[in-house]
Amino acid sequence: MSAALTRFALWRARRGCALALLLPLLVGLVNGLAYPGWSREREVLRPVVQRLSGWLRSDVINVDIFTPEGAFLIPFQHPLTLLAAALAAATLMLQLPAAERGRGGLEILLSTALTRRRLVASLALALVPVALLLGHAPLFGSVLGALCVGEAQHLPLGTYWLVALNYAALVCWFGCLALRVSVAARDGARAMRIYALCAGVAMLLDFISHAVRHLEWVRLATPYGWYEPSVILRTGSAQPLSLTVLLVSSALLLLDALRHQDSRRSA
Amino acid sequence: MLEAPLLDAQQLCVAFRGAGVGTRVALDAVSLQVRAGEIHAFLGPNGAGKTTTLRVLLDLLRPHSGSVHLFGAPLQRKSGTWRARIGFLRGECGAFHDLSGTAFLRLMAAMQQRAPVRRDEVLHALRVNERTLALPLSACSSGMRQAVFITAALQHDPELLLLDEPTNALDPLVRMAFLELLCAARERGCGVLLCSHVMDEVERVADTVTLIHHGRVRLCAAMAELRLRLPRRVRVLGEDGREHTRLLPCADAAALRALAAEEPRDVLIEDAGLDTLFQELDGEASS
Repeated sequence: MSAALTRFALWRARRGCALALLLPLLVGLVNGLAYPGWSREREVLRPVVQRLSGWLRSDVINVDIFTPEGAFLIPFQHPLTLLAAALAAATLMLQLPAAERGRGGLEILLSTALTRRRLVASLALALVPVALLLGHAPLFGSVLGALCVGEAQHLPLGTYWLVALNYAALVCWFGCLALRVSVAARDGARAMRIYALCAGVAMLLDFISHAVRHLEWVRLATPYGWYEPSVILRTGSAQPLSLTVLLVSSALLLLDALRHQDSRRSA
Repeated sequence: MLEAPLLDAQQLCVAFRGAGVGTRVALDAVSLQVRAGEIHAFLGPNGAGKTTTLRVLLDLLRPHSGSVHLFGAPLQRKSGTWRARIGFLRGECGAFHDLSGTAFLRLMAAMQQRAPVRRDEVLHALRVNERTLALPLSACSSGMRQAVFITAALQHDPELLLLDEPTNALDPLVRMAFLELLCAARERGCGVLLCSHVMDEVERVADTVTLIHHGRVRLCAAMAELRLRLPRRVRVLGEDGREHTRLLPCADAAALRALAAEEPRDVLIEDAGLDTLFQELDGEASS
């Protein structure tokens, strides 16, 4: 692995990653600012939410969002947060090698002592700090929101940290998927289209599995099915199976990316 | 006995399959050798296959057939150690424009895994100062950027240089300084493969010339030998006071006699230069 290349990849992706980092923070902040009104309106809203959760087999509503720990879990579950995971991974992994293919940057890098395998490994290394930082962004968002309304002392920070770990594993999965796509695609635009399609299909399947009661199992075919904030909050356990599935499938995608980059005819 | 070449490519064949255009042969049995202490000019019109050849030599593109030996051993695909002994310069590239010149050179040195022992010398020769290096590459002029890219290719004192149109955008003074750096590298035993469209610089520094056209090697000769074979450009000042320019084949006694028979007022005979090779290729293509 090349630490210099890892730093370069992080430097190039800094703006996209910062944007992805901001999304959960903003969700947390807005969530905090909206929270005080809930205490007065919860009696009105509770039956509506209960009816909604009866219609949707939704984990979002499986927690009591009228309690501080349930309400401040929202930054972990918000669609923007889920989008942030896919966005950060794309920014980091699609710029290199895919976007530089045929534009010279990749050729300059690979004309040095850097091998194709080390290129992929170095990019994968860049994913670690991004996943850890982004994984904690919803946690910071939750704390920020709770601080706004003076509820920070009621947050189960240990359990939230386990959710953050689960979210970091989700970011890892998207990163490895983006890397695999980036390695195989002919150029950046094609890589972006394929990746957007994969992420879009995963989101759609996840939505279908929530909306259609008999298709709950479908969510297990997507990474979102293994990201379980509400289950972790309810059980207080890290859900090791989910973590394992996300991390092992990430590792498999990474291995496949290594193999594919090495066997390409052109860089 | 001759030393083994630093680079020995034999019978390289590459074809590209494009949508709607069928298969296009990019390289057809291209062979090439670069020895230590030699500047080998690799010439050809746009699209002739020069850059494709460079990509094959660096294992950035794998040929359909043929072999490449670098530093006496077959191209090792799994290991990158041989690449540390190579300096590669490619044309303009936007991937690093966010970085300052200093950061780019540092990145390249880290990737090359060799100390940048010649960095200061090259920067000084190419007139790149500290202030320019501190700027992002996007804020530098294209000539300055090219000078920084040249520095990246030369800074680790490579044993083999692969240069693709290195003097693009350089001003005449920096271009001359660069050619002097190339000559100095040759003196140190470095082999250079120089792709260029600037014929006067090739004539000035090259020891060997290979000409490629439509993916085929059309000519490979020592520069000294080629000079003797190149036609002469003759400017004739006629009796009517008008000047005519014509090309005469080298060492053609009959042509010289015919010229003398015209009883010109004055003649100026000079090397026609490598440009004529391109004109010949163009003539072949149109015929």
